[in-house]
Amino acid sequence: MRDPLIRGIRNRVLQVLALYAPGADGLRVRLHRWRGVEIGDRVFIGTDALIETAYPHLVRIGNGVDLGMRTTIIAHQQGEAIDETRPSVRIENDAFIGPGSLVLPNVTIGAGAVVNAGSVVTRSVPPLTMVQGSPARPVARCGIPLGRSTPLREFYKRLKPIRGEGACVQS
Amino acid sequence: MSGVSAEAVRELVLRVVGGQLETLGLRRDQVPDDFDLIASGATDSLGLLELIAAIEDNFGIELDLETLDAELITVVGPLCRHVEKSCVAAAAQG
Repeated sequence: MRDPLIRGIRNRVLQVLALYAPGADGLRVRLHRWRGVEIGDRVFIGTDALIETAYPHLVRIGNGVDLGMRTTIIAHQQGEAIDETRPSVRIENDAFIGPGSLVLPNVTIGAGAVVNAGSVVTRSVPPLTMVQGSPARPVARCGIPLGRSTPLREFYKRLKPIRGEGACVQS
Repeated sequence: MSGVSAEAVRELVLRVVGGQLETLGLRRDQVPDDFDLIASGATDSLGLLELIAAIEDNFGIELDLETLDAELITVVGPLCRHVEKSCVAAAAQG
């Protein structure tokens, strides 16, 4: 009982520190790693990002991922058994999660995918796909990932709208 | 599609963003050639996608912005002239 309690307290304290600690690509990332979140290289974690409060080891974040300010990631579902052997939320290399987005359990966000600000991701997102809204739906294919060094308009000019059932883009 | 003028493209572009132009207090004939749709707040990234879809559907082309300077893709004049050129090229290819 004592170990889980101490582990839980340590996890919560580190999460609170990580919310506002300086160093979005340094200290903040390290604090989440210490909590148990699996995080790759060159990851940026914005201010006030909340990464799975109770089961941080259920979240895997790849290389070059950008988590915007106030992103929330939830990796467990009340009433569902927790499978400790595999990550519930996977964010693949070079994905971009816009500020204020909410990522729900059992979701994989593909490499180079983009989640627009304020979206609620309830289903997995294919690689190099932009999603938007609540629930998040595909709106475009991305020609390139939206990395921190990518000029926004270079990214825009390679977007291809997605039309059809379930897509947000109306012409 | 042949016979598409930059003026016709401009008409479509300003119709698509028309509601937001009204919000900004602008009439369509007041929109200058160097009007940046995103920097002015007339549209956003999703609106840009809707605009591209509208252009493609209206003029029957697949719009390729690769050859347009990235800084100009949201500027009304250069964008409309680029679409005009794309329509001419598409028509020449049959």
